[in-house]
Amino acid sequence: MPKVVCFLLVLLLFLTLPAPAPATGNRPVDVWNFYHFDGIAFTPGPAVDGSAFLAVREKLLPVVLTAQTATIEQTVLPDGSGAIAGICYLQSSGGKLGGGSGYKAYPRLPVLISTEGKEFVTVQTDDHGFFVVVLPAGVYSVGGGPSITVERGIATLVPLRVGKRMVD
Amino acid sequence: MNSIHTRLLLVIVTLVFSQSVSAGPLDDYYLQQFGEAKSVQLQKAILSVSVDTQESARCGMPLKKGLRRDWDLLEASTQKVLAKQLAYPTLESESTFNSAAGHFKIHYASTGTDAPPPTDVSGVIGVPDWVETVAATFENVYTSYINMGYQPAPTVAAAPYDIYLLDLAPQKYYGVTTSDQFVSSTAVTSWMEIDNNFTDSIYNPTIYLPLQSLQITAAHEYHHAIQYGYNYYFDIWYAEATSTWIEDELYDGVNQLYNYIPAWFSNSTKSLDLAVGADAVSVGAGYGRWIFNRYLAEKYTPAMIRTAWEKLASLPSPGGGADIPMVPVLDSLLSSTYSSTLSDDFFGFTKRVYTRDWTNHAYDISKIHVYSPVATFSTYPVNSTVTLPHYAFAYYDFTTSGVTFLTIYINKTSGIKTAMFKNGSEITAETNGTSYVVSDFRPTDKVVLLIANTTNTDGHTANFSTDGTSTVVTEPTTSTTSASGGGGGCFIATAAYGSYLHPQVQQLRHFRDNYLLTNAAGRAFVALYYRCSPPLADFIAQHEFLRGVARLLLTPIVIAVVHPLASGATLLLAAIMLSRPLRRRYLERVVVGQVQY
Repeated sequence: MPKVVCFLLVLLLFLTLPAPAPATGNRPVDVWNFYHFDGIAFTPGPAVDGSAFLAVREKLLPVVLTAQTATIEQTVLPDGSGAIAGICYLQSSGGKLGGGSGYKAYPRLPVLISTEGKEFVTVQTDDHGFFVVVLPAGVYSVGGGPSITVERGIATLVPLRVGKRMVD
Repeated sequence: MNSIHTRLLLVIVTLVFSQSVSAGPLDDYYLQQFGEAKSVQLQKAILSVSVDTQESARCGMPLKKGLRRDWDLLEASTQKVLAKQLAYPTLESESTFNSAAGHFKIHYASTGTDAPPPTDVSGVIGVPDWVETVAATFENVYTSYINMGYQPAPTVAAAPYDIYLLDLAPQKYYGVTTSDQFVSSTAVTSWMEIDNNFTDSIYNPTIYLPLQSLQITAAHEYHHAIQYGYNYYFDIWYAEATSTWIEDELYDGVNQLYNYIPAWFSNSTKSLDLAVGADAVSVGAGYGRWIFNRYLAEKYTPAMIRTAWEKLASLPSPGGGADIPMVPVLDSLLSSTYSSTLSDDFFGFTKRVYTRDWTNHAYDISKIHVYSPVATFSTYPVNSTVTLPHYAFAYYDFTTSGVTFLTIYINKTSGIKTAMFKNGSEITAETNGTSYVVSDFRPTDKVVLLIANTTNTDGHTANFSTDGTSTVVTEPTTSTTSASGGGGGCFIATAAYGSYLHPQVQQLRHFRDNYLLTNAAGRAFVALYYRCSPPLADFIAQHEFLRGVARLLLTPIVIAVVHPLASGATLLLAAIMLSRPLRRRYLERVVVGQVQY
């Protein structure tokens, strides 16, 4: 294979590698990091409106928090495992009188996690619409969505739109 | 074993046994209460359970509280079926009333703040008159839509459509329509909440009677329900534009929708498909765009709007939780069915914003807001430049200050169309549309220039002057960033796969928007691509063989985008395998060289 082609392929590889975005990207491994859902994606920092948010730390189980002052229980992820933490939400749009856009968390919703086309486990969202699941490293589909790669000791954050609300 | 032990064992066995069998009846109970029991076996079980269905229907809130309390005792399959019940509203002393033709089930509270007005002097005794009015209004809306050729909103097993009456005034909502269960790959059922009386001051009951607010809410929200049935992945701006437009088709006398137009016209430099966000009303997003549907309905027929939804219904899910951008769908429909383009019709619409030569709803034309100029010029010479996002427009006013003759020179990029008017009449452009001449310009004259970006590409620019001076304008190099998540471009991929909406094209677009455009090197690559690819894409699109070749060449790129790690590993492996013979050959050359020396 010509070197130019090899170079181009390597360049392509370099460009495509950042595709999965685990929550641990560019953050210290020995402190808890907080992420809240802003209606579109998980963004760094605790929620300022009092809604639940996630505490994430490498090699530990992600924790759903409802207050910044809450004590975080540390649970070590099993060897060879990672985690997926996410929220199921209804996308809210509109508002003839203003203020209808945002999201509404979907509590108590079963979320099917499959791998290689087969059901692996079903988890359930909590009262705040969040779910946390420990999985062996691998590739999974969450709620029938696109593939998500779970890496050892790392939590991947997944927002799942499970419906729309047309607010007027 | 003594008798105490025997009794203890008996109690334990009884408890264990009762626990093991209680899950079934509990599951059956809740499935029955929420109308989800479907199998013959379950129906038999239900018959054996003593349940006062009338009472249960009146106690929705305790039932849902019970469901929440007992949730963990239910089997996973039951939880899956009943999960949505926890999302439905809970009403105090809930009652239900089915509309006359049976298409709707109205859920209402008998007590508390959510209760509708209690007056009950006509119709069915025991059912508040307002509830009957709600039911009748929705039946009227249903019949109107069926007569217009729309398909009804889907429901599971053709059950009546659920409507909940709630006090929505504190949230400042008229109504909410929420998606529910998929009945096909793209069609979904839904349910609705509307205000319980529309008497709160936020609904302006002195201007719009509660019945009128109910009518337009029913028309608006039930069309959303229909939209969910056509394609769940609808573009929200167009959903709101259609639901608002159709309010006036069903209830012409209410006219609340005209209030949403000024916000768009005073923000006309924002795109047609501007995202419906928290500022939707203040910028005219979604709701204000209904007037564009009025234009399309006038030029073609109101059925054209329905065909747009039917066209959308034929499209697959774009994947990745995204919605289907409506702008390309409209363009495709206008091209394929109406011998037009979105470019031409958007430009026609922008002209009508000024000319106001609307034909339908003639008695309400005065309610359509006049155009809003971006700037007014009264001193000359003028030299100004405007850059517009996709499908946006700008008006400029010129007033005389002693000049009696005015020439406007235009220098523009390819996506810009312009028009000039004097006292309402369009002035023909001179020399290939590069200038307009206004003669006999008097103080009482009104001269107006329209500049519109009539493409789906952001950044088209126009420069205009009155003295012939010109500023250089350059063609946009970046791709469109549609408010609804879909962009333009990906020319070669679109040509290769034949559709902007093809899943592979969407994957590449997603990669471009989320990775390439996030860094300088990526942006430079994208800019280069958009400079070089259009002619090549045009050529490929015209040759089926080349389209096949292009698809073949794009396949590894798409795979790399979708599965970067797997692709990387494969490439690494290939590189290692290739490097061995190359290294061997290199070493052989070195060895040979050493020998020669």
